[in-house]
Amino acid sequence: MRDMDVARRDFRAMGTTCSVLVYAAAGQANELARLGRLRVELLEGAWSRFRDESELSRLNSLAGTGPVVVSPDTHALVSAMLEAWQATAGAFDPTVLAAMRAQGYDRDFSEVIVEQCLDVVASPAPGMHGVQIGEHTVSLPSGVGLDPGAIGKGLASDIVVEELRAAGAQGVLVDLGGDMAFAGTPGADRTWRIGVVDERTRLGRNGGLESEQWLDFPTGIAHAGVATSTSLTRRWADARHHVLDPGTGSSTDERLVQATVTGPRAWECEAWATAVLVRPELTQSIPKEMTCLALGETSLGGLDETKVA
Amino acid sequence: MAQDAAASTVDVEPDSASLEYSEDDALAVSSSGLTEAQLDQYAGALATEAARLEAYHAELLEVAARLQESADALNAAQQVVPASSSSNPGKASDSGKSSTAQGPTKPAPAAKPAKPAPAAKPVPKPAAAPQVAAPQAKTRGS
Repeated sequence: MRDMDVARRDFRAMGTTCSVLVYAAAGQANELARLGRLRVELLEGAWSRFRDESELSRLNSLAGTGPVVVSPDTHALVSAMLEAWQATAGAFDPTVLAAMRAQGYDRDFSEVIVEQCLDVVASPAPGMHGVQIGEHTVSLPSGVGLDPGAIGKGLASDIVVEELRAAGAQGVLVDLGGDMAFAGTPGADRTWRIGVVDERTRLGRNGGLESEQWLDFPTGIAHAGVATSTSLTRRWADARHHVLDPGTGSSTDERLVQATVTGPRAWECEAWATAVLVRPELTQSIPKEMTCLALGETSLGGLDETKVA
Repeated sequence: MAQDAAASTVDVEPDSASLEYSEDDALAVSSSGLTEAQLDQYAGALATEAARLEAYHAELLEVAARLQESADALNAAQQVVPASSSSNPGKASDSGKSSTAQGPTKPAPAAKPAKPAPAAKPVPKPAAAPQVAAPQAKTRGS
């Protein structure tokens, strides 16, 4: 009988806490987990909007200049962004970069100065109408900048899980700040169990979920993703938060404050989780192979919980 | 191979920004307004990233090869198990199940997903579960 190794790497990347969990035979789990972390860091190097030398920053700086040759990873990122923007009718919009910067979130969140930019005038995001994707190129219209935001974390987790599984891992879970993908078998006779943290409870607000929610997925699953978006974290200045309504360029009105979406791909989950915070009515438009747990908090402190089958 | 594709991205493509040269030819300026040096810097950065990715894929292939060797060795060992061992139905069944459940699938060459493929099967709907095991992870707001 073959021994199964388990290895876990916890680290910081992409401005958040990350974890790579690998189940593999032949004593290779630790090595695969190390490589998983390395891959996450490579993707961060390519996609960070806080690094001037990153590929995405360079792409943004070349907006309006025509087609720009990009790496396959960045090509996949922009393709995912465009697909998500179209699927959510623009509610998920990565072109909020300028609005995000204008709101003061122009550096790693740990360095955001809360007093900054209180008088900024918000403006709508331009949308991805003019973004063109070639075989190896991306063309951004003038004035358009892409914010990889959480969809980058979702896609990164998808990529790493797929690559480590292809290398022979029995089971892999990659969690990048709550956006995660997983596949395969987590040891013998176990399910993939994912806890959902209710940020309202964590922040001590009245009426959060009485107990944690648990999502169980069958062992041997081909590939799945879970992502949560919330307006209750990454807040600064005068109650601003990082979930922007692309229609106004300002923080959302918080009819919903948290959404957890499950589905076949983590990047899609993240896009929909963000989209329903922007437009709560989109909970009824989520693709049938996905599920959503959306949490609201009214101005009176009442709660609304929506489960979408 | 992903690394090959990545490396090729530093090549000049016909539809990428073209170069024009100033009158005194002292400073090359692209149609984007960037200098030739800046474009070279961008290409160099892409090449560096491609090299790192290539190194990563090479290491991944090594691990995949080791896993495959291990799987092959296990399969070979199972083939020489005396017939009397498999005469015990329960034992043979258990052994087969363990092998199927825990043995690695045949490793493919290092993955190079330009885009993760959609899962073949729909994801089962999650359901609240009894508190029987610790979760592998928790999703929280990002």
